[in-house]
Amino acid sequence: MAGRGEAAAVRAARRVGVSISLLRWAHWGAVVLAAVALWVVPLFARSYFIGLLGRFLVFGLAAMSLDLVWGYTGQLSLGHAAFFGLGAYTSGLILAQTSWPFLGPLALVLGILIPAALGFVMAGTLFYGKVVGAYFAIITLLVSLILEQLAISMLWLTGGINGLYGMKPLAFGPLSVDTLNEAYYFIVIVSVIAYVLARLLVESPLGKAMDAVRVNEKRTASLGYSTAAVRTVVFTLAAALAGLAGVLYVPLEAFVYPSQLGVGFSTWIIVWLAIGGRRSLVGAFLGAFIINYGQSLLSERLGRYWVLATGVFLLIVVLVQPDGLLGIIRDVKDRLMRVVRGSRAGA
Amino acid sequence: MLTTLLNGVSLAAVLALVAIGLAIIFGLMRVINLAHGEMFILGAYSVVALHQWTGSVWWGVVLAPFVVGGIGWVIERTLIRRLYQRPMETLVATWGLSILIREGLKVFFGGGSRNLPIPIRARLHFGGFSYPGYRIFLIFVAIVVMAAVLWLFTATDFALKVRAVIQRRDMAMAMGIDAARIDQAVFALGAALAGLAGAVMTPLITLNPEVGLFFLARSFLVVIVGGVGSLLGTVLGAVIIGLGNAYLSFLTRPVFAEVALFVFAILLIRVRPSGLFARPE
Repeated sequence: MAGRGEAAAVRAARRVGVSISLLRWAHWGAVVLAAVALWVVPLFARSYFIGLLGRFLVFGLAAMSLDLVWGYTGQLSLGHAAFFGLGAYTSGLILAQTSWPFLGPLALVLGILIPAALGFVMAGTLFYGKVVGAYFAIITLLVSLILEQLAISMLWLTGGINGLYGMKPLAFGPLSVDTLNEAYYFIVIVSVIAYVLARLLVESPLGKAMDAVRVNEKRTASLGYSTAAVRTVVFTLAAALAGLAGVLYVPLEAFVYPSQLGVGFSTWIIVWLAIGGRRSLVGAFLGAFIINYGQSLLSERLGRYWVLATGVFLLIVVLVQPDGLLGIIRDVKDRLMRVVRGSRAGA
Repeated sequence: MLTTLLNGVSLAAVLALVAIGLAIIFGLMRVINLAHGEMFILGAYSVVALHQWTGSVWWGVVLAPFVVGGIGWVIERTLIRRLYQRPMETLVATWGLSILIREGLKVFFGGGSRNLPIPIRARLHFGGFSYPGYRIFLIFVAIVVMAAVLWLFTATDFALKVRAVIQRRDMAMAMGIDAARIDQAVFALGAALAGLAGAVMTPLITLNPEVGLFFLARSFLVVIVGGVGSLLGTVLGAVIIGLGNAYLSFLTRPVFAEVALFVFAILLIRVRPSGLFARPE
């Protein structure tokens, strides 16, 4: 509900006389409700569904990470899986070591820091060199492609095409993330924290600067902001978040493989976000949920056409509805409001 | 050593054909066509289809540029022209299009890999050294086509119109140049060149619908190194990437050769954003 959606919501609230602080409370209330709902799911759901839901949340985090970069600062990362996969490989490699102490915290921290470091180096090099827009997007694509090829060919480190498996569970002292339910609860906790932090980020002064950099870079620069600094900070944070999502994927999947770094998975992240709705943190999760749930329903019969459909989705988002599903919901709501208001005016 | 040199030159020849299409489309329309790798693949599968039909590779090599050029023309008319002035949306749309073409080819031809026979079996001998005749043919084709493209974009009436549209689109249109038709022609030509590259490469590679991405990626390296300002720069970029790839693959594993060239390109874009050979703006 940020960006355009937020502005519309604020306008609607003013129109009916609801104070904006009430709206904000309603949003946080909805977050708490969603967290509680996610928490009680394992009480009555089958383990297949719990696994799916955990996966959707991890994918939603990856899409939210891309949203910070693409939705809010306007820089498309075509290779966002590079950071996701790097997080997964880092934590997987650490968890495969049996002799080190503090494996869990180390896997979590390095699984976030190493992708963040790559993101920082990339963003710092490119944004400060005024490499933005299409060239930036292409370089992110190349990074993802090359990391995937490296993961396939560096057998001694990554296990090649077979990937990494047989990792020890992610453990923090007495707390261990081992079973499916434990992995799921861990993912829910981290997802809620990450969402809250991301929400605070986009509503902070830096969040306003992110909007400004996207909308008009020159004017933002002339007001004294370093647009390169804003973009670099946000890209680094997003890389850390994508790495975190990768770390969370390891206990769920018990398997790390090269395509988690690759261009195909990067494209999926783009599709989730574009379908859900850019510039909306909720949209990132919505897109990841709907696309993946659709895939799990349809893939038995239509598996080979599902990837083809993503191409169609991307074209639809560009040509018909740039704000994705949230945009469609908003349009329907606006139309209903107009009908309601029209009938009231007639009465 | 001569073998490595010629391998590099033949890779450079193909990369030049692919990258020049990418570069002229970007230079004229500021559109980066992420489906350009799929134009390469469409050229390759044109050869496959015509090979199944006629039993010869040559028909495909001759007809592929026309087939792919026609497809490019349709893409420009239906998709690209809606997206001018929206560079980021163009990236997303052409990426979607590339998925559509790639997966469509998988449905139509199957996703597996295939190898076509090399149509020229003879080897060229000079001294104690011999080299596959087909690769020599490929280098020859690329040189002829590149010369034709350079002539087209420097010495013809068409060249004048293209330059006018690049420099001042509205003024060119006021002078009676149909800018939309120039766009269509250039986009179709760029697609046709990529299609030709795919067609002539088909007998030399293990073909599957995924290889387009690798040629797209290498073409980007060419464009980053050579810049998009001049056609000669793109050709020189292709020579650097092609020879670099051949020699580095000779010294180490191919994947590390790709990584080294990529790092080189990143450092270069930081120091000289407009490429090695273009005059900085």
